[in-house]
Amino acid sequence: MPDTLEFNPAEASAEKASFSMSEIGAAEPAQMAEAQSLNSQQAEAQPTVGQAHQEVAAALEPSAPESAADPDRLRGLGNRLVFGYRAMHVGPEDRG
Amino acid sequence: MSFLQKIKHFITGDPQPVAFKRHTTRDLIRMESKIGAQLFGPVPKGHRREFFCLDETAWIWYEEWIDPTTKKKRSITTRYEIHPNGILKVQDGQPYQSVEGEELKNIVMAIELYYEQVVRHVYHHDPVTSKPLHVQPATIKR
Repeated sequence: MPDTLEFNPAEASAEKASFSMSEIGAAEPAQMAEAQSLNSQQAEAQPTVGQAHQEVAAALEPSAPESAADPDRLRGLGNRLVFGYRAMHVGPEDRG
Repeated sequence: MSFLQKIKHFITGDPQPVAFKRHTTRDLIRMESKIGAQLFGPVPKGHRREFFCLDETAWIWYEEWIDPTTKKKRSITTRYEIHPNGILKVQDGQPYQSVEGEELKNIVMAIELYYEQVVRHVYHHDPVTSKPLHVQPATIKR
Protein backbone atom coordinates (compact mmCIF):
# COMPACT_ATOMS: atom_id res chain seq x y z
CA MET A 1 0.00 0.00 0.00
CA PRO A 2 1.68 3.23 -1.06
CA ASP A 3 1.75 6.08 1.43
CA THR A 4 1.72 8.80 -1.20
CA LEU A 5 -0.99 9.92 -3.54
CA GLU A 6 -0.95 8.27 -6.90
CA PHE A 7 -2.66 10.00 -9.71
CA ASN A 8 -3.93 8.61 -12.95
CA PRO A 9 -6.57 10.86 -14.47
CA ALA A 10 -6.59 8.84 -17.66
CA GLU A 11 -8.08 5.95 -15.75
CA ALA A 12 -10.52 8.00 -13.77
CA SER A 13 -14.10 7.07 -14.41
CA ALA A 14 -17.25 8.52 -12.98
CA GLU A 15 -18.96 5.17 -13.13
CA LYS A 16 -16.38 3.27 -11.13
CA ALA A 17 -16.38 5.10 -7.82
CA SER A 18 -18.20 3.30 -5.07
CA PHE A 19 -17.88 3.77 -1.34
CA SER A 20 -19.79 4.80 1.70
CA MET A 21 -18.94 7.58 4.10
CA SER A 22 -19.48 5.87 7.40
CA GLU A 23 -16.54 7.69 8.95
CA ILE A 24 -18.08 11.08 8.56
CA GLY A 25 -21.73 10.21 8.60
CA ALA A 26 -24.48 7.68 8.40
CA ALA A 27 -25.83 5.94 5.35
CA GLU A 28 -25.72 7.50 1.91
CA PRO A 29 -28.32 10.27 1.81
CA ALA A 30 -31.15 10.45 -0.63
CA GLN A 31 -29.61 13.67 -1.88
CA MET A 32 -26.71 11.70 -3.30
CA ALA A 33 -28.94 9.77 -5.64
CA GLU A 34 -30.62 12.99 -6.55
CA ALA A 35 -27.31 14.68 -7.30
CA GLN A 36 -26.14 11.69 -9.32
CA SER A 37 -29.32 11.81 -11.31
CA LEU A 38 -28.71 15.45 -12.06
CA ASN A 39 -25.11 14.76 -12.91
CA SER A 40 -26.03 12.06 -15.35
CA GLN A 41 -28.23 14.56 -17.16
CA GLN A 42 -25.18 16.72 -17.73
CA ALA A 43 -22.72 13.94 -18.40
CA GLU A 44 -22.71 14.27 -22.16
CA ALA A 45 -21.81 17.93 -22.02
CA GLN A 46 -18.96 17.55 -19.57
CA PRO A 47 -15.32 17.75 -20.61
CA THR A 48 -12.94 14.94 -19.81
CA VAL A 49 -10.97 15.08 -16.58
CA GLY A 50 -7.83 16.02 -18.44
CA GLN A 51 -9.56 18.78 -20.38
CA ALA A 52 -11.18 20.08 -17.25
CA HIS A 53 -7.88 20.29 -15.47
CA GLN A 54 -6.30 22.19 -18.30
CA GLU A 55 -9.19 24.64 -18.40
CA VAL A 56 -9.12 25.24 -14.68
CA ALA A 57 -5.36 25.52 -14.46
CA ALA A 58 -5.34 28.01 -17.32
CA ALA A 59 -8.19 30.07 -15.95
CA LEU A 60 -7.11 30.15 -12.35
CA GLU A 61 -3.44 30.94 -12.83
CA PRO A 62 -2.50 31.20 -16.48
CA SER A 63 1.12 32.11 -15.86
CA ALA A 64 1.88 29.47 -13.24
CA PRO A 65 3.29 26.05 -14.07
CA GLU A 66 0.76 23.32 -13.42
CA SER A 67 2.93 21.63 -10.86
CA ALA A 68 3.66 24.74 -8.80
CA ALA A 69 2.19 24.62 -5.33
CA ASP A 70 0.87 28.09 -4.73
CA PRO A 71 -0.55 27.97 -1.19
CA ASP A 72 -2.55 31.16 -1.65
CA ARG A 73 -4.21 29.83 -4.75
CA LEU A 74 -4.97 26.46 -3.13
CA ARG A 75 -6.33 28.13 -0.04
CA GLY A 76 -8.44 30.31 -2.29
CA LEU A 77 -10.03 27.24 -3.82
CA GLY A 78 -10.76 25.85 -0.35
CA ASN A 79 -12.20 29.17 0.73
CA ARG A 80 -14.53 29.33 -2.23
CA LEU A 81 -15.71 25.78 -1.62
CA VAL A 82 -16.26 26.12 2.12
CA PHE A 83 -17.44 29.70 2.48
CA GLY A 84 -18.96 30.05 -0.96
CA TYR A 85 -20.61 27.02 -2.44
CA ARG A 86 -21.07 24.99 0.75
CA ALA A 87 -22.34 27.96 2.67
CA MET A 88 -24.90 28.64 -0.05
CA HIS A 89 -26.31 25.13 0.20
CA VAL A 90 -26.25 24.56 3.94
CA GLY A 91 -29.45 24.86 5.90
CA PRO A 92 -29.68 27.27 8.83
CA GLU A 93 -29.70 24.42 11.35
CA ASP A 94 -26.20 23.42 10.23
CA ARG A 95 -24.65 26.84 10.48
CA GLY A 96 -22.37 27.52 13.37
CA MET B 1 -36.53 30.47 -0.17
CA SER B 2 -37.76 33.94 0.59
CA PHE B 3 -41.11 34.61 2.16
CA LEU B 4 -42.51 35.88 -1.13
CA GLN B 5 -41.26 32.78 -2.92
CA LYS B 6 -42.94 30.61 -0.30
CA ILE B 7 -46.19 32.50 -0.77
CA LYS B 8 -45.93 32.11 -4.54
CA HIS B 9 -45.20 28.43 -4.11
CA PHE B 10 -48.16 28.04 -1.77
CA ILE B 11 -50.50 29.84 -4.16
CA THR B 12 -49.35 28.46 -7.48
CA GLY B 13 -48.16 25.07 -6.34
CA ASP B 14 -44.99 25.45 -8.41
CA PRO B 15 -42.54 22.73 -7.53
CA GLN B 16 -39.70 23.85 -5.31
CA PRO B 17 -36.40 23.97 -7.23
CA VAL B 18 -33.78 21.61 -5.86
CA ALA B 19 -31.39 24.55 -5.70
CA PHE B 20 -33.34 25.79 -2.71
CA LYS B 21 -33.10 22.52 -0.90
CA ARG B 22 -30.83 22.78 2.13
CA HIS B 23 -28.22 20.23 3.12
CA THR B 24 -25.98 19.71 6.08
CA THR B 25 -22.26 20.21 5.69
CA ARG B 26 -21.87 16.47 6.15
CA ASP B 27 -24.22 15.79 3.24
CA LEU B 28 -22.23 18.11 1.03
CA ILE B 29 -18.91 16.57 2.02
CA ARG B 30 -20.29 13.14 1.18
CA MET B 31 -21.31 14.31 -2.26
CA GLU B 32 -17.98 16.05 -2.81
CA SER B 33 -16.00 13.06 -1.60
CA LYS B 34 -17.72 10.75 -4.04
CA ILE B 35 -16.21 12.86 -6.79
CA GLY B 36 -12.91 13.28 -4.95
CA ALA B 37 -12.43 9.53 -4.71
CA GLN B 38 -12.55 9.25 -8.50
CA LEU B 39 -9.74 11.69 -9.15
CA PHE B 40 -6.98 9.16 -8.61
CA GLY B 41 -8.25 6.57 -11.01
CA PRO B 42 -10.17 3.40 -10.32
CA VAL B 43 -10.38 2.30 -6.70
CA PRO B 44 -8.71 -1.13 -6.45
CA LYS B 45 -11.02 -4.02 -5.69
CA GLY B 46 -11.54 -4.33 -1.98
CA HIS B 47 -10.46 -0.75 -1.32
CA ARG B 48 -12.53 2.14 -0.14
CA ARG B 49 -11.28 5.63 -0.82
CA GLU B 50 -12.36 9.08 0.17
CA PHE B 51 -10.86 12.41 -0.70
CA PHE B 52 -12.43 15.65 0.37
CA CYS B 53 -11.90 19.20 1.49
CA LEU B 54 -12.36 19.28 5.25
CA ASP B 55 -12.01 23.02 5.58
CA GLU B 56 -10.35 25.81 3.67
CA THR B 57 -6.84 24.61 4.49
CA ALA B 58 -7.21 20.87 5.14
CA TRP B 59 -7.74 18.03 2.68
CA ILE B 60 -8.33 14.42 3.72
CA TRP B 61 -7.37 11.29 1.84
CA TYR B 62 -8.66 8.08 3.40
CA GLU B 63 -7.95 4.63 2.04
CA GLU B 64 -9.20 1.36 3.50
CA TRP B 65 -8.38 -2.15 2.33
CA ILE B 66 -8.03 -5.74 3.45
CA ASP B 67 -4.47 -6.81 4.10
CA PRO B 68 -3.95 -9.87 1.87
CA THR B 69 -1.57 -11.43 4.37
CA THR B 70 -3.40 -10.96 7.63
CA LYS B 71 -6.91 -10.66 6.07
CA LYS B 72 -7.49 -7.81 8.47
CA LYS B 73 -8.93 -4.46 7.55
CA ARG B 74 -6.37 -1.71 7.34
CA SER B 75 -6.75 1.97 6.70
CA ILE B 76 -4.68 5.06 6.40
CA THR B 77 -5.81 8.63 6.83
CA THR B 78 -3.68 11.40 5.42
CA ARG B 79 -4.37 15.00 6.22
CA TYR B 80 -2.85 17.58 3.89
CA GLU B 81 -2.61 21.08 5.29
CA ILE B 82 -2.09 24.17 3.20
CA HIS B 83 0.32 26.49 4.96
CA PRO B 84 1.66 29.83 3.71
CA ASN B 85 5.03 28.28 2.96
CA GLY B 86 3.87 24.99 1.46
CA ILE B 87 1.87 21.84 2.05
CA LEU B 88 2.36 19.61 5.07
CA LYS B 89 0.93 16.14 5.56
CA VAL B 90 0.32 14.07 8.62
CA GLN B 91 -0.63 10.42 8.72
CA ASP B 92 -1.89 8.31 11.58
CA GLY B 93 0.56 8.72 14.44
CA GLN B 94 3.33 10.09 12.24
CA PRO B 95 5.03 13.46 12.53
CA TYR B 96 4.31 16.21 10.03
CA GLN B 97 6.16 15.98 6.74
CA SER B 98 6.61 18.53 4.02
CA VAL B 99 5.04 17.39 0.75
CA GLU B 100 7.48 17.55 -2.12
CA GLY B 101 8.25 16.23 -5.57
CA GLU B 102 5.77 14.00 -7.35
CA GLU B 103 3.43 13.87 -4.41
CA LEU B 104 3.29 17.67 -4.32
CA LYS B 105 2.37 17.78 -7.99
CA ASN B 106 -0.28 15.14 -7.43
CA ILE B 107 -1.95 16.82 -4.49
CA VAL B 108 -1.98 20.20 -6.24
CA MET B 109 -3.52 18.64 -9.32
CA ALA B 110 -6.02 16.74 -7.19
CA ILE B 111 -7.14 19.90 -5.39
CA GLU B 112 -7.57 21.78 -8.64
CA LEU B 113 -9.50 18.94 -10.22
CA TYR B 114 -11.59 18.47 -7.11
CA TYR B 115 -12.58 22.11 -7.18
CA GLU B 116 -13.44 21.98 -10.87
CA GLN B 117 -15.44 18.77 -10.68
CA VAL B 118 -17.23 19.52 -7.41
CA VAL B 119 -18.25 23.03 -8.41
CA ARG B 120 -19.53 21.71 -11.71
CA HIS B 121 -21.23 18.49 -10.61
CA VAL B 122 -22.30 19.11 -7.01
CA TYR B 123 -23.02 22.83 -7.05
CA HIS B 124 -23.83 23.17 -10.74
CA HIS B 125 -21.77 26.26 -11.32
CA ASP B 126 -19.12 27.02 -13.86
CA PRO B 127 -15.83 26.70 -11.92
CA VAL B 128 -14.15 29.38 -14.00
CA THR B 129 -16.83 32.05 -14.21
CA SER B 130 -18.74 30.97 -11.05
CA LYS B 131 -21.96 31.41 -13.00
CA PRO B 132 -24.76 28.85 -12.63
CA LEU B 133 -24.72 26.16 -15.26
CA HIS B 134 -27.66 26.24 -17.59
CA VAL B 135 -29.26 22.93 -16.82
CA GLN B 136 -32.87 21.95 -16.79
CA PRO B 137 -33.91 22.80 -13.23
CA ALA B 138 -34.63 19.70 -11.23
CA THR B 139 -37.63 19.62 -8.97
CA ILE B 140 -38.46 17.80 -5.83
CA LYS B 141 -40.89 14.97 -6.41
CA ARG B 142 -43.92 15.07 -4.23
